[in-house]
Amino acid sequence: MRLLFFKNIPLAIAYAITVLVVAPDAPLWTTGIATFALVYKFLCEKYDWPTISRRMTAGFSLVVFAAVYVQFRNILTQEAATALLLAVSSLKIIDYENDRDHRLIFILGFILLALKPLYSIDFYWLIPLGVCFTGYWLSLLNKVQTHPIRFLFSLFVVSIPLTLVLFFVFPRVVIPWAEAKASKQGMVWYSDTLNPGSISDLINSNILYFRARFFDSAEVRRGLLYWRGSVLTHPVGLQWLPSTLPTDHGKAAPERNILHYEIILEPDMNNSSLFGLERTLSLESDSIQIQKKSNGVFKSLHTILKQTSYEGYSSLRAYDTELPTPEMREIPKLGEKLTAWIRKVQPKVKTEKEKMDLLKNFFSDGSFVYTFHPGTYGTSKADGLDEFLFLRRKGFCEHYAGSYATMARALGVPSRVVVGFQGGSYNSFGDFWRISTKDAHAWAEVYIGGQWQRVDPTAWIAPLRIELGAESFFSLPEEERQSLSFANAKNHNSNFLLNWMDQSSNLLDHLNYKWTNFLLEYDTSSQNDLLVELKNNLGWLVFSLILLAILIRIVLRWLQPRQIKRIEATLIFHDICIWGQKRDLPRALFQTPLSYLASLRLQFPEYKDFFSEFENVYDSALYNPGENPLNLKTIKSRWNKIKRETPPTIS
Amino acid sequence: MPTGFGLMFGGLGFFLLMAALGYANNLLYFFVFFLLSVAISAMVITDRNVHRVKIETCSAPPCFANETTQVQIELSNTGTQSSYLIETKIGASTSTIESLTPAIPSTANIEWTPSRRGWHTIPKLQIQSTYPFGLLRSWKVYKSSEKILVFPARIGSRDFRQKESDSNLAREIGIFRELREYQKTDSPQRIDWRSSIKHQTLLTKNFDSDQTKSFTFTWDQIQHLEDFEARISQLCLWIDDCERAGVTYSLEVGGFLSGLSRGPAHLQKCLQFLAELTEEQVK
Repeated sequence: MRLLFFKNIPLAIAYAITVLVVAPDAPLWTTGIATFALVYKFLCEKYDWPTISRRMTAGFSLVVFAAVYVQFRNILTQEAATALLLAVSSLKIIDYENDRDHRLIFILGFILLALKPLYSIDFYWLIPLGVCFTGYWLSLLNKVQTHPIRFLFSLFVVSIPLTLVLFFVFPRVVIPWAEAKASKQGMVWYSDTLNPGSISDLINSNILYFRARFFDSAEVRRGLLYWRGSVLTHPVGLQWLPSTLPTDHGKAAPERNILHYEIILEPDMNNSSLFGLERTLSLESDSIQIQKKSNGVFKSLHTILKQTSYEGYSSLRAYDTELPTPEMREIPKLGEKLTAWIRKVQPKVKTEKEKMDLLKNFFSDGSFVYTFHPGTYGTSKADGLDEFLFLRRKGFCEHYAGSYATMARALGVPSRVVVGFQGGSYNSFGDFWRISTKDAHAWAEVYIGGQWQRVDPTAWIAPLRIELGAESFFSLPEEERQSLSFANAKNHNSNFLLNWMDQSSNLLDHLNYKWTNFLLEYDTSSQNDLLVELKNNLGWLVFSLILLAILIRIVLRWLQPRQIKRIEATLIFHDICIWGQKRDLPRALFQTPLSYLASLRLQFPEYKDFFSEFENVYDSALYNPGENPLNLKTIKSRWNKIKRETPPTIS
Repeated sequence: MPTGFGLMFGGLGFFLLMAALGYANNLLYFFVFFLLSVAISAMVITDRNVHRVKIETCSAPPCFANETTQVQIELSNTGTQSSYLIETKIGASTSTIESLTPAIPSTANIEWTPSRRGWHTIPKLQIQSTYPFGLLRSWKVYKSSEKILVFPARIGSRDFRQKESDSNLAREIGIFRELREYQKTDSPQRIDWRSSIKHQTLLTKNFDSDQTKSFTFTWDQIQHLEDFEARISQLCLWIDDCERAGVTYSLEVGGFLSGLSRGPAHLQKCLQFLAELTEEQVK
């Protein structure tokens, strides 16, 4: 008999959700094939559309195979395998008509689900993964199974202890072969160059980039959270480019006033930069190799292909006194207006402080506007800078940071541009900061007083951007953003922007953080620590196991159908049959229980009342199990009495 | 033992475990371990599903060789939970009981085709199940001591050979009323030759309406068949045909004389003799 795919509702739902789960990580054309296959199959089953033969789907599978190979130059990498499996499994849906097809889809579906953790370990995915997991198993159950969902959940509950034991005890051996095939498609956004508009493009999304947690209950203000990523030293108009940085072999960190923090960084295939606070002395990690470069920059030896955690140590006393290189004094080609301005003001400012004040006053005169839609600037790079500084005066952080650093150099102050993130959203549930693409930022650093110091022109033009954080600031309407930019930021209370949706979001984010942290951190050393801990606390372990067993028992009793009454009645009846058989009145083949009880009533008139009552009790127990359990108990005790009274056998 | 699907599933588990090891992904580890744990729990359920089942009785009515009969097996569930998809199997024939409730016996009928006549014990019976997911097949074997009588196969020619000299083999039984002139449609066997000679004309016997045919089957009638079993089968076929047609018959083989009769008991007697017949008895 031909099976219908959409008639097997658990399978259909599980597969459809699997497609949705995997779609973000698969090429668009394979998702398209999967969607088409599902729709086409539905139309074939519902409206009797002509089906595609197995030969044709086999042919399409070969075409898909070739297309995947052409796109990825491989079929064994993570992305290629995802694309191939998604397309081939969806073509199998079109063929679906028998048990063998069902089982193949079951297997392919699980493989697709298993690929998801390789792309993301966020706990949000647990819900759809759990639904699919349940659906696939449910689809295998025969229709005769009463209460299939209860049965399945009982099975899951019983499986949990073994799962936990295997998870915590199974040795974590790393086989390097898979690393080479790992996804190269993490988030691709962070760039080591600064182009006008490159950061403004990013704030359109709010993708998590990393989380930061401070140890020792440190109180940190958002305004001080400047996460340094790359240092750019080569200006070309409004554009800034990095130069090759030598490795810094560092000096010993001061022992006091250390700010210890941890960062969990999301994957980004184009990036090997690691982010740390200003004045970070060192970054350490068990999972990646970190190089400390000059200019306070940290790099991973490899691109960040999966979620990675590392710890940083920062100190306010750790001043960067590295001497500026000639490159950091290099003045780019300036436009006419800027050149004229420099010539005009340079004689008036002699000291570094005067130069800094001059630049600050230049940007703080109220004529500059902070916007991420300033339009494009100039036909040549130098003219673009002139246009920004003296004509339009509208720009984003990258405009201000880059132009400030150029002007500082023009006045003889070595400077550089730093690209990274500023601020973040604080999650009070988990006590961590969430830094997203919206928090991307650029600022300048100038070398004055024998040390490098941060200067952020954005703080003069749009102080709320720094105080409120990007997420809150960009949620304001443009007009409010502009007007508030000139207001006294200290009088502004940021808390009014937090509402219950933010709180819910924070809570979920916290749970996700805990979850991903746990998954990332659990490795061989954690395992060894756990086993030692268990060995030292055997009593608690035994107690926990007993408690777990009791909980499982309670859950199972709640999940299993209440057929106890029915079973008790049938067990009594079975006992009566054996009793009758020993007294030369066996139950005939195909004889119904009630008919047999009637025979017993006739044969054994001394127990007529008992058999008569048991008939009623048996009948109601099988068809109305909840009715009057007391009767059953009474019957049972009466029957036991009859058994005791009557001799074992009657010859 | 795992089924083909179970082997495929095992391969899936192994492959995913290797992936978890290679990528050192804890979430993938958790996924794989949960998958395998569920499969292991299901295997335990499969085993317990069959373990609860007990065979109460196993019987089959007498049947003919080379013909399919139904073996009736009464199964009961000795546990406290229902057993599902219980397959009872004899050779390649299976019968499935979808649900076996505790203490309520169910009967499975399995087709069985004995190949030889005589007394047989019911072949080895296998109770198996792949419930719930078809990953594992669990089974147990039951050997019944009950015997079944298998009559000879009903093979042979349906035409009963009747020589003129064997006029006693097909007797007509009835009350003689009169003689009358021979008509073309009359059977030559009815001709009364003695009276015909006396009256110089062909005369046939005329009986009352209670005429019935009867047949006597002997070993000599099937001498043209070389094979011993073929002869027995031929006799069996004739006897069965007679019983179906409502004709009285008798069997005279070796020292066995069944007497002229018909009916289930007479049939049973004749067929049983044929089922147990040995070559020594007819020599």
